[in-house]
Amino acid sequence: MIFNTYWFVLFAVVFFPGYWLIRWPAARGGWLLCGCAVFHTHFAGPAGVVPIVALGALTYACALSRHRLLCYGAVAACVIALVGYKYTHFLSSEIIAAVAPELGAKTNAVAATWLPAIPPLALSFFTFEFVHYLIDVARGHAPIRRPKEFALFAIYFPSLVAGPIKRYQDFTAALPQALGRVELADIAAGAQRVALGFCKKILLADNLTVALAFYEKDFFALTAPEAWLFLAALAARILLDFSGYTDIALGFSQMLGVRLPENFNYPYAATGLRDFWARWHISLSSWIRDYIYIPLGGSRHGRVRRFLNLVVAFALCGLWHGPAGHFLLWGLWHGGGLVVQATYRTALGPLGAKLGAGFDRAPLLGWLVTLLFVAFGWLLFFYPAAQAWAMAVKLLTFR
Amino acid sequence: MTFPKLKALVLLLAIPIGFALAVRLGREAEGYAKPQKFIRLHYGISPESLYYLPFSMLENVALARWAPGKTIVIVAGNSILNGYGQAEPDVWTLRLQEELGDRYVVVNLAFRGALPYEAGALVAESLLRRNYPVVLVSNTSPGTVGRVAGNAYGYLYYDALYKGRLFNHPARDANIAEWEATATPAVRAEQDELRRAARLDANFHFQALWHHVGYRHLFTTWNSRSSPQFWQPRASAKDDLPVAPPLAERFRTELASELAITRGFSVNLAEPDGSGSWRILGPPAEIVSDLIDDMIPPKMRRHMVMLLTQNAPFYRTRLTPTELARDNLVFSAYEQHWRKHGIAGHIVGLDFTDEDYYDRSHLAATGGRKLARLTADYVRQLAPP
Repeated sequence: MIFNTYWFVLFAVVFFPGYWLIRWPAARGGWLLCGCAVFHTHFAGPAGVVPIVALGALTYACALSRHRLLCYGAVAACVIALVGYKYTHFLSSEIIAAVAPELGAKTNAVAATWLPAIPPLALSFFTFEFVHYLIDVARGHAPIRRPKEFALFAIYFPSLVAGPIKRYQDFTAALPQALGRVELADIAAGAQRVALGFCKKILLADNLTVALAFYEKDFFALTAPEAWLFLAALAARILLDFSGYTDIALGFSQMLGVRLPENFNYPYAATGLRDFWARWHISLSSWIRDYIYIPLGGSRHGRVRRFLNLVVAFALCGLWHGPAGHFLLWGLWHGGGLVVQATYRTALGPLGAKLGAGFDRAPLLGWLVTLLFVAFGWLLFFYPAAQAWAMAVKLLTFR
Repeated sequence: MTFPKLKALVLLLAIPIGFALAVRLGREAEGYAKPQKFIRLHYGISPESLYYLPFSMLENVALARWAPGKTIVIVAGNSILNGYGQAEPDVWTLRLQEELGDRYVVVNLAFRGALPYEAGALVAESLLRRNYPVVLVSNTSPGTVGRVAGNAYGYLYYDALYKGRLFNHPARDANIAEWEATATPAVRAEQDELRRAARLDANFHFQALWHHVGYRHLFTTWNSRSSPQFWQPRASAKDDLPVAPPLAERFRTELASELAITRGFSVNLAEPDGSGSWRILGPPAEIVSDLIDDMIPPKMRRHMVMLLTQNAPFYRTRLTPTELARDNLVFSAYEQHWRKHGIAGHIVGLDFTDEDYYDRSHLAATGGRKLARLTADYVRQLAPP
C-alpha cells in the first residue's frame, strides 16, 4: 500500500502543512497540483505517467469541444488503453490461445515486447473517471474549462490509486471551497478517519492476509470449523483491507477540505444481494449502473433483456478487478445471484412466494443467506475456479 | 470558539504532543531494550518471525555483561554459529565462555542465514569504533562474502549506518551503490524505503519504541510460529530451536541433494589443472577478494576470526577422491585468502566426527564443545588475556 510507505510519510509532512499554510486559492491549487504530480510520478515512474497524461489531454480536449462524436471517440480511446494495457496478455494467453494456440502465442509475444509487465498505476480508476466525464459531457453536462481543475480531477492523489471513483460534478463543486478555506474540524475528522483506516488495514487486514496465506496451503487438511473460520477470515480481510484503504483516502482528502464519495456502508449487514451492492464498493457499483447497465438498456426492454444486462454488467465488473477467469466467474456469480433474487418469487411458483414471504418476515435469514453467498463468492475472487470449487465442496460437506 | 472547533483543536494539538512524547519514549527505550539472560537469537526474537529487532537492542545485549578490562567476543555468522542443533543450555557459545573465562564476554549474535559480515558483525564494528576491546568471530563457506545490504538483515546495516555507528568506509558505500544501480526497480525502491526508514528512525526512534512494546507488552503482527500466541510479548517466546536426535536418526534427508550441496562448496571455485590435480579459479577468488575489501573496514580485520565451516564427514566421505581433493584445496586456498586480507581464517570441522554434527552443516552439542575449544584458541591469539 502506498500510504504506509516512508516516502509518503515524508511527502505528507511537507505537503499538508504547506497546503494549510497557503491562503491564496490559486497558489493553494497550484501546490495541490504539484503535490499530486510528484506523488503520481514517484509511484508510477516517468514512463507510467505517459498514459494518464496522454489520455487526460485527449479527454480534456474532446470534452471541451462538447462534440458527441469526439467525446465517444475519446471514450473508445480510454477503453482501448484499458483493454490494451490490462487485458492483452489475458486475452492472448487465455482466450485466443484456447481457439488458436499459435496466434495466441504470437499475440502474447508481441504484447510482451510492447507493453510494460504491469499496467500503469491506477489505470482502472482513471480510465473509469475519464469515461464517466466524457459520457456526462456528451449527455449535455458542462465540461471542466480550466486545465488546472481538470488536471486535479485526473490526478488527485488521495483517490488516484484505489478510488473511490469520483464524479467530476461533485469534485469540481467541492474544490473551490477547499482551496478557499479548510475547516479545522475537517482536518481533525480527516485525521481520525486516516487513523481508523490504518488500524483496519495494518493491524487487522494485513495480519489476516499473512494468516490466510499460511493456512491456505493446508486448507484441505483443516477441520470443518477451521475451514469455516478461514472463510470468515477471508471475507473479513477483503472488507477491512479495502474499506481501510478507502478510509485513509477519504481521510486525507477531507484533510484537504474535499469530501470524496463513501465507498462502503456496512456491506455485511445487507439483507439481500441488491442491498449488498448498494453498500459494497459503492462508487464502482454506481459507475457500472450508470455507464454499463443503463446504457445497455437497463430494465427498459423486458425481463430477459434486463437480466442479460445485469449479467453482462457484473461480468465486466468482475473482469475490472483483474484479467483472470476467476474474476469473470466472480462477476457472473453475483450477476446470476441478482437474477435469482429478482425472479425466484415468481419463477418458483407458490414455493417462491412462500420463500419470499419467509425472507420478508425474518430479515435475519436474508442476512445470513446473503452473507454466505458473498463469502462463497470470495473464494472465486481469490482462487482459480477449480480450487474455489474444491474449497466450497469441503466447506459445504463439513469434511 | 464552538465546541466542535475546540474538540478539533484539542485533537490536532494532541497529535504533535503525542508524537513528541513517543519520540521521547523511543529514545528511552533505545537505552534499555534488551532480553534478560540472553543466550542467542532464537526464532521468537528474530526477523524470521517478523520481529525486526533494532540495532540498539543488539548493542545493548553485547554490552550488558561487559565491564572495563574485559574483551567482548561477538559471535556473528549464520545458523551454524547460532547453535542450531544444540539445546539452549548446550549452545556452543556458553562453552566458549567457559573456555575463555571471565576476562572475556561472549555474546552470540549469529542469525540463521546471515552472511559472514552483516547483522551481529556490525555490532562488533560499532563497538570497536567506540574503542571497546572486541573480537568478532564469524563463519562462512569458501566463496561466500555477500553485501551488508540487500539481504534479510540488511535493515540492520541502514539502522547502524544512519545512527552513526559504523566506520566511514567509502568502498562499502560505493559497492552498495554500484549493486543498486544494476538491481531491478523493485529492489531499488525497497532499498530506498529501508534508507528512509533508518534516516527517520535515527531522529524519531520509533523502531526502539515499537520494539519495546512488542518485546515487553504486546506484539501486533501475526506469524505462524511465535509461541504461545502471536500477540504475547516476545520476551515470553521460548527458544525452541531443534536439538540433535540420537546419531542413528541423523542424516536422514535425501543423500543425493545433500551431497550435491557438499560438492557445491567447491565445484565452481576450482578447475582441473591438466595434471590430475586442481587449481583455484581466478574470477570467483577475485570477487571474494573485492567484497572483503569493500565490505569490511581495514580497522576491523585484525579483530576478526573467520571460520570456514566444513560439512559433516557423513557427506564428505561420500565424495569421490577427486572431489575430496578439490574440496580440501578450495578450503585451504580460501582460508589463506582471508588471511591475505589480515583476517584470521581457520578451517573447522575437518577432524570432527559424524556424532559432532546434527545434519550436514550444523553441529550437535559435542561438535559445539570442539568448536568452542578451537575458537577459544583463535580468540586468545588475537586478544591475549
